[in-house]
Amino acid sequence: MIKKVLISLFILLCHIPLVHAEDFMNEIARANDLYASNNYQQAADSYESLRNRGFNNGHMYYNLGNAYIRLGKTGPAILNYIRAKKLIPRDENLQANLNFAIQQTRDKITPPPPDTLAILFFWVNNLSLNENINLAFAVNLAFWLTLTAWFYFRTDFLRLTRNLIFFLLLLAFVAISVKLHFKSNSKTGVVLAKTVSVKSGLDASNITLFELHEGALVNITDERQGWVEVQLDSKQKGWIPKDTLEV
Amino acid sequence: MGLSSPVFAEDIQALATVDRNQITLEDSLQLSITIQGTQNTPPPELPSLPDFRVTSSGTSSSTQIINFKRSVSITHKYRLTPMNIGQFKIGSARIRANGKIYTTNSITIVVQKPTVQNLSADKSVFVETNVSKKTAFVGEQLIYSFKLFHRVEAKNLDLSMPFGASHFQKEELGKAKTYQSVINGIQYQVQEISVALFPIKPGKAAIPPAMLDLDIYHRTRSNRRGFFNDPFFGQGIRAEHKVLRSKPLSLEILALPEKNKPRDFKNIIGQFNIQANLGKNDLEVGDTTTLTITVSGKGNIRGVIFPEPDLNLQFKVYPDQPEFKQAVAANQITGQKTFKFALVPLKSGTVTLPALTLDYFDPEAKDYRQVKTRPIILTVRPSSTEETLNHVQSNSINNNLKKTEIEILAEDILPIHTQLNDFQNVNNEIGTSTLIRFVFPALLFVMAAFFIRKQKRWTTDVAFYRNQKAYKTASQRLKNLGLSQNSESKEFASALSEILREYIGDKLNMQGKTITAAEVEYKLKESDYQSNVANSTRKLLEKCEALQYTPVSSGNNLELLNKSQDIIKILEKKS
Repeated sequence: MIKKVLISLFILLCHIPLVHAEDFMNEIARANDLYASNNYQQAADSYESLRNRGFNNGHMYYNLGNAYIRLGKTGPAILNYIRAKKLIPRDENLQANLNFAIQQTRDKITPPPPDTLAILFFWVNNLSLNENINLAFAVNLAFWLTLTAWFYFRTDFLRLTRNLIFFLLLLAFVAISVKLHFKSNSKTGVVLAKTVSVKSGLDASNITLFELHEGALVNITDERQGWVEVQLDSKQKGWIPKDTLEV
Repeated sequence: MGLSSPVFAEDIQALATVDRNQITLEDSLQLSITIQGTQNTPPPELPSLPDFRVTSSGTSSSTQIINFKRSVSITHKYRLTPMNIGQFKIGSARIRANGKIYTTNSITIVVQKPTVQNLSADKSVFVETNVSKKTAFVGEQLIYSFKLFHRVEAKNLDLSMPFGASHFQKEELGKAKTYQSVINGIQYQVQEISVALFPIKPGKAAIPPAMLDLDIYHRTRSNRRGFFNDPFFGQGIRAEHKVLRSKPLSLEILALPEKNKPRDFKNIIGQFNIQANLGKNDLEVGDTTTLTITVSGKGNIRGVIFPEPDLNLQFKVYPDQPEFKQAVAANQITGQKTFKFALVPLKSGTVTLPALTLDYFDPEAKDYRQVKTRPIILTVRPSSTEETLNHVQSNSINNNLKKTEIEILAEDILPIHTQLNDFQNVNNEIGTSTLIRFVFPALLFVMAAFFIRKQKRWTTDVAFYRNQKAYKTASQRLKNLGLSQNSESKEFASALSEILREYIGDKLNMQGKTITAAEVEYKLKESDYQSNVANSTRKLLEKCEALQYTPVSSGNNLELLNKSQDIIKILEKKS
């Protein structure tokens, strides 16, 4: 009886995501067809609808970025390319299209160069969070297998291998922490308004320091009362309304 | 207001509501998904809504404490903008909470055309688009303008202005303009944004409708006289969200005429001028001067290219990167492209640089035109320095080393991904399953370590080996004894006694065959077995020994066998 219940539960658990996945696949295929037939607005709406329904996939963000490029909306295009980069960081087409989109913007601001931590953990940003976790999982499995083998045979070679894999495991865990740190602290925003005046304070009456245009990439350093502090470099810094950009 | 029945499961419930269920194409509705009982859920998975454009309007959470009972909820809000008219069903949204899936009931929405009454009454705001020409040549510059006319305050404008990317290339024409305009005696505030479009292929072309999302603010006057009986205080402001669509535009794009078409025509369309200047007209062999060619005018000037001038090996020519400056004047893209070539004369004498020509198509004249520079004469004197240039060698090396440069004609994005296998939903959160994946190998190791240790002890520790094997051996021997034919003989008692003593010998790691019943009792007590168990064992052994010398019946044998099995089981449990 218990066995039957468990089997039914297992089938149910496996079945629900499959049914839902099929829904997503149909919608993706429909959006791709709309794009192929030059219905870019409807394709973009379809991809956006998937995103709003909780669907999260790097290739979908890439396609959405392409649809926005075709519609002449460089801001949302760059935003979605950057979203895609978090999930498919090594996709060459994505990097080419992101560069193309940045060249279409008026400010032509490129993503900031890697900091010391990013240089030290150079592989972390070339892997998505899931890939980092899977790598750590593989090293974790290798460590416990080696430990089991060493427990049985007790040879010097296995002891050395065990220590080496243990070091790699620690490194993999630190890499996940670094990735999570980048994920929570890296606040890159994309300007979506056609033009936005960067003010010296939290009010429209303050002095305009400089102007940013759609698609400009900025580093967000603070947020207060519906305004965000954006920074381009150590000199260019100021406040813009929060609703003019998206993170 | 449409309200779906909530779905209850324990103390969590999911609720879908809309602010209205009958709208026109100019309106939008707000869909709210409220999850009561928890705030710690991922965003809901909305159903497929192909007839609506869905945008997130944020989330709000609430916590209430009533009669010391805390209740929490989170509401996810979405703005749904209809794309078609008809009756549509908003299906169930799914919410994952506490490992379960909750669904909301569906809601039916009716979308109607904006009524005529609405259209006439609502002339306080409207949009229109126009294009500078309905018939144009491929490559000709067109101005596509979007205008918003409004008599009331309009804010939060979100314009979607598709331009038919398969038929046109687009160039921005700067910021939106704001001005006043009077239509049928009514003054409107106009906001206009224009882009330049360049048709890329002949045939019928369509520009899809532009769509503008905006909030308009109507000033309303309350009947009730307010504070101080002053009409000023009776005023209120009513906000309304609108979605305005323009009409689609159709154009006819003509191919460039074949008549009079120059050879190697480079698809330069517009009106242009060309100028050539030389830095120095009098120089020595080996000296450098710069030839500057400037093309200016209106049209697709960015596409103008000039190859390296053919100067009959009289000069070494070093091309520089062209410079391009663009300006927008009177809604027209004008520009200037400058080409620079450094020239190093190889021979002395008077040299004439030939005129350079540029062919273009003038859409206003509907014909091809040519502009050209004037020829430039320069004097090259022999080198005043001793060193002579090895002209032939130098030039040949230069030719050998010179890379063939690929001319970039246009840039475009790379295509979309279409492999459906790549589109798997990615869960980017670190959840319990991830932790289990990491802990699971450790648990397997603990189990494996336990078995490895046991196996090693099995092979090295004799006492352990005997202890572990004792019960199995004794049980098997007792079973065989029960099945044997000599169950009525005296040997039965002898065999039974031997099995018991060997079992106890194995358990206590001693020689079992020679041990006496009294020694068994003593050793069992010494090994912390309960005294009654030790006592029963001694009595059983003594009985077996006594029976070896007296006649026995089958009933006694069976009883002894059962008792022996019981004793072994008790001893095994205690070990």
